[in-house]
Amino acid sequence: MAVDSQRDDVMLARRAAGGCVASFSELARRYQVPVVHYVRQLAGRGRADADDVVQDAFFRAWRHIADYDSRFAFSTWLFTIARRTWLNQARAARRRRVRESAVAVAEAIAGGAAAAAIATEQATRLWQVARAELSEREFTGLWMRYVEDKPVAEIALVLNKPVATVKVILFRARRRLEPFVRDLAGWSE
Amino acid sequence: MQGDAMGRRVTCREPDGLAEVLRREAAGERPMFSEALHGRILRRLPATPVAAGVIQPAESRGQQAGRSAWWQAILAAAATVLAVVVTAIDWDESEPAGSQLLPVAIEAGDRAAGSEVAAQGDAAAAAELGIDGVPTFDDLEAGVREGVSTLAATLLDVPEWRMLADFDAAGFLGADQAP
Repeated sequence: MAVDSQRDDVMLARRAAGGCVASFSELARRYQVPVVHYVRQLAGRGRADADDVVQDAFFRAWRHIADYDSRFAFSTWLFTIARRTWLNQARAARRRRVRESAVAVAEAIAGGAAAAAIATEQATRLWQVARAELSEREFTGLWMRYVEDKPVAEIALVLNKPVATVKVILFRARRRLEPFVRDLAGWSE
Repeated sequence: MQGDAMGRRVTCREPDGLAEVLRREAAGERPMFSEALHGRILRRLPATPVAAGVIQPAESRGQQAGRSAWWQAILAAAATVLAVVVTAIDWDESEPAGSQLLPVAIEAGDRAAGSEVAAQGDAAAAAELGIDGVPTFDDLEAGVREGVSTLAATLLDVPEWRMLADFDAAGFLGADQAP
């Protein structure tokens, strides 16, 4: 079933590469929810910010769809683009903050404090805890592994790291998250 | 600390139920499909042409193996050609053919250069031959030993390597099993 779906994705991607908007529309329809889900959790910010990242990621995918390597799942390629788009926007936001005036910085700090308070309030869910406790790379590795069921080789593509490094990332992420999971799920040793 | 059947420490094994909890937590926050977002995505597309490029075709393992063998054959042929060219350039027509293949021509009555080196060590041989400006094998060996010692000391200083030593390789390599 998954193999058929992947072949179907490749066929749609080929048509989209030829300029077929309808084919790309179908791909966007198929993968909007998983990409939005991932980016919203990754961003941990307002829904509008995350949706902007998703919109930009799909736009980049359309622009570069001819570069898609059909040996790998289309969703893996899409997640790679979404992650990089988010990283770019996060870096740009950081640079903007540095350039802002003292007053604006003060406002940003105040806003940040409010956001942190909200985040603390919301951090009752495991993935929010994961986002707060883990690095972006560890978070993405875990998400691809457990939510998207990606094999390690494809996670390596998303993270742009060797397979062995991905295994270490997953190992460390699981170890760091384990106490929180234990608390939330009420595990016993 | 958890252990396996052999009593070895297993610190990287996936905790029971972790995958289930993570999936359940994620599913609880799964968003709904948004027609509005889909519409916004599509609105940007027709105005922007697809960048030129070629989708790489999916290759079977057989095709990949065939391509690999093809490249190996090309590299082997290139190496052979290179070896022949280097030999041909280095050939000195004024010397007898056999002498080109030996570092020192051994004639009756001469001491064999190899036995001299073995007897005195290459530092002494280098001094005798007037090439003491070139690093000797003794120098190189000492350098390699020093480098290895430095590298080992450095790795012990890196906390992440100490952390890596906490878990066993078998469990680590099993981490990519499909969930």
